[in-house]
Amino acid sequence: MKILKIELENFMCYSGTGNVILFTDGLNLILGGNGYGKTKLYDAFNWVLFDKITDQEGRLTISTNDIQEGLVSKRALADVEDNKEVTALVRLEVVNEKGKHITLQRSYKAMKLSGMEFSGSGKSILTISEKDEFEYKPLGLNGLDDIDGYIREQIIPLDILEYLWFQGERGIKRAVDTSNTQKLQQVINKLSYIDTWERFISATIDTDRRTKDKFDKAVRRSDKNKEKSNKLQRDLNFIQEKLGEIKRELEIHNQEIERTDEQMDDLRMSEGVREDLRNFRDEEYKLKRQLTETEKEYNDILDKANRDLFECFWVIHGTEHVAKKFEDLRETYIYSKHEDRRRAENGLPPIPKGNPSAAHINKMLKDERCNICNRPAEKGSEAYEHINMLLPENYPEVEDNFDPYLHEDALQNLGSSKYRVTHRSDAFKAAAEEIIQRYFVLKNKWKKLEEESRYTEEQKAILLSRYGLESVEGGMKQGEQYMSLSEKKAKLSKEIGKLEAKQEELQEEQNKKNKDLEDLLGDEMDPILSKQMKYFESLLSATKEAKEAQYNKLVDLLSRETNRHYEAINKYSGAFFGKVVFMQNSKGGYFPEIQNENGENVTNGMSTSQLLSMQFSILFAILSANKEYGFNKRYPLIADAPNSAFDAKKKKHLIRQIGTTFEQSIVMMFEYLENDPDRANRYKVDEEGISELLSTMHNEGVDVNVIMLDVPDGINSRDINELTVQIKNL
Amino acid sequence: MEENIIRKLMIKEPKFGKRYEYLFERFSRKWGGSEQDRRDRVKDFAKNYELYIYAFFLGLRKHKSVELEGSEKSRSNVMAIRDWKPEALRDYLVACTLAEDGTPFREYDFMKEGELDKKSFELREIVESYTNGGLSILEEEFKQDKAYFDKPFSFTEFVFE
Repeated sequence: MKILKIELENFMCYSGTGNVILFTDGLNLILGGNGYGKTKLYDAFNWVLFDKITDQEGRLTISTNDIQEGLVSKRALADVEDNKEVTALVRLEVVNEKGKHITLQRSYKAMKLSGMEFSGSGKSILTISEKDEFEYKPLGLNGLDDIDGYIREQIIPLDILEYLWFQGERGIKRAVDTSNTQKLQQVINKLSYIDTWERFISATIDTDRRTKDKFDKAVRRSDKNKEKSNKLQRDLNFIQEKLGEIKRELEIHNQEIERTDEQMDDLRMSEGVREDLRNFRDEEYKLKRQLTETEKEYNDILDKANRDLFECFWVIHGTEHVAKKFEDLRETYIYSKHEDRRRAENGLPPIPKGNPSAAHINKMLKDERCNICNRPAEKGSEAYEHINMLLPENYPEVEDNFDPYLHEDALQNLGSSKYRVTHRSDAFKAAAEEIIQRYFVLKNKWKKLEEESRYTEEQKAILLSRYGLESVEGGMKQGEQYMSLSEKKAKLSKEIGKLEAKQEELQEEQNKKNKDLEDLLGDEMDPILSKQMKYFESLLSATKEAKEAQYNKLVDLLSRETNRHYEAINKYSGAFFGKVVFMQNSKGGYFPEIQNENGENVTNGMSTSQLLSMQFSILFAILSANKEYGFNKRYPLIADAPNSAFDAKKKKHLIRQIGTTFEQSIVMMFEYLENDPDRANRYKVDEEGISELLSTMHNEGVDVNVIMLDVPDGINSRDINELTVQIKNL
Repeated sequence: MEENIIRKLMIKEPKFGKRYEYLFERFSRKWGGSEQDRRDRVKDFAKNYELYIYAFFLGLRKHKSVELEGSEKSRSNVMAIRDWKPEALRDYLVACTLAEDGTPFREYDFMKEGELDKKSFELREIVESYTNGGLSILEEEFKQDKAYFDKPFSFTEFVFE
């Protein structure tokens, strides 16, 4: 099927008539800025065929009844008078695989009641017409089933549509969900002929079972060697029963392992990622702690400096001359007291010259005799008292006969404080400078830590986004769950291995006993029945092997094709991109992983754009690998903004791959545009880029049709829906 | 207890110029508060009297004494001198005041109660004049560059410049 033309009348931002795009074979590029109607055009294709447009997630979920007059150009609704109708219409002209020209025209009428109030039926009208030799004639299709059937058979099969028509990166991620092994298996099955083999196997199992039943009945009828045959039959029944038990157990284990696989697919996280997350979390904690400590330290220093102004007395710096004045005044005061005291001491009687020592005086007092004048001095006598008075402790007290020094103590206290405050004042400045210097060193350290912290935050965001995690802690938990599931799976696999070995052993025994029974009853059994049974057994085994071989062949083919596309998109980027390998899980399903040259899985380390390029490559391979099905040659690819995660180089190679893979493709994109220097906030085609593309595609034998969506000058992007988009064929 | 001039000065509650009230609002926590609270409010002085002491020594260092007329005096005070901390610094301020007045200390021993009272008022005025002088220097700097004192260590650096 090929799309020849689309016409849009008053459909969303395409107001008025004459909005026509003609499509050619090869690559049709629809270029437009954001808000220039690319997605509305994608919606037009879907609406005309399926009566639905896309939601915010790019899914076809919004029906005509959901949106009603939202389908109609706002400008047309604004221009029309009250109580008049406006019709939104999309007409699609295609030619199907049988060469039949078909038009599909869908319309919706809305009536303007007044101002911004509208009414409509909530239902659109679809007319499908086929062209005979001369003209298009409408078909009388009745009901939705008829229409769906017609579209599926004559235009495009609906089950492959999501792989051919998609909107944005979300669309491709949904179509090729590489994290879900079942989904990928479904895709492979749907787009291959594996299901045919499944039908063969099922039919063979059925026939084999019927033949065995016939054979068993024949055995039961036989009399010869009845006893022996009965025993063999009992043994066989027992074996059959055991095999049944093992089969059931295997089924349970396999279901369990499948569930575990699904859970693991959801949590897919390698040990390397866990290690990354763990290191990341440790680094983040360390930085946070250092930041807090440094911030506290430099704030403490600032506080300390403010406190030291007072507590270390820096504030008195430069007032030492006043301290000196105080000290002079105080010394005068103290000197005055010393002088007064000296004067008082001067008033005492002088101590006699040659006064004997205290030891001699005490001896005289003891002997009650004066050794100076050599005469007795009895205790109590005047002479004794005179000797006693010579002892220093008996000298007369100095009497303070001067005015009291009332301020002495208070001034002494002030003096002590003055000494405390000033005695190290020459070191104040150096101490303050040292603290200030230390503050700025710490402040710089803090700034560096803050920068590191910001960098870590950015890395965190990248890491979390890469693994689709909400938080590092969540990721750690997820990793732990993954490990625990992994252990569970290993245990289950071991159990399955044991059960399968037992099953094999029993099957061998069963075969042996069947052979014994056959030999025993050989003469009486219908030889055709025996042959039939053998034939169907070997047919079943052969069919299974053939299916396996075909499946492997298909996966090999898919792998080769995927890598061809993957390499073509990535090889010019300069970055490492590895190789896509399809890995088989325990249930026989496949999931893709990117491996390096040593065969190590590096999927989790790849960037978002590389993973997206892998998904594109798988999708292209699925559509193109099977030449017999050849979807890429039979149906057009329609993609709206498929490549915003790619850099410029990768985008070009993706476009090239689309052009060379599909017989017809329609790609709506923002690329190959540049600011128009002659118009405010408008674009023009990047002629150099387009010329390069045309030349490349020409060499590949692919035609390129370029259409640009434009908006009249002077319109604010907010009002674009209310005005018309202009289509320019370039 | 016998009265002395130091005790009489210590019980005084010195004032500052009304016009400088905004400096106290701007740079100090009027009624104290926690250190964290003070830091949050970007105030460098934990108490009003700290800014008062700072301004006194600034005036003293720069020999700037501006007498304060009664009408110019602020209504609020900065607590009695005896309550200022640290005590050694408070004592040093008193010692400097006595030194600046220059009265020989022996004379205080002979002053009568009334004379001591009169002298203590004179000494309080010395304290207020130097503080007033210091505040006028701060105001000048603040008016020249409103952000000067927002920088860390500005008050410390101002002491040593």
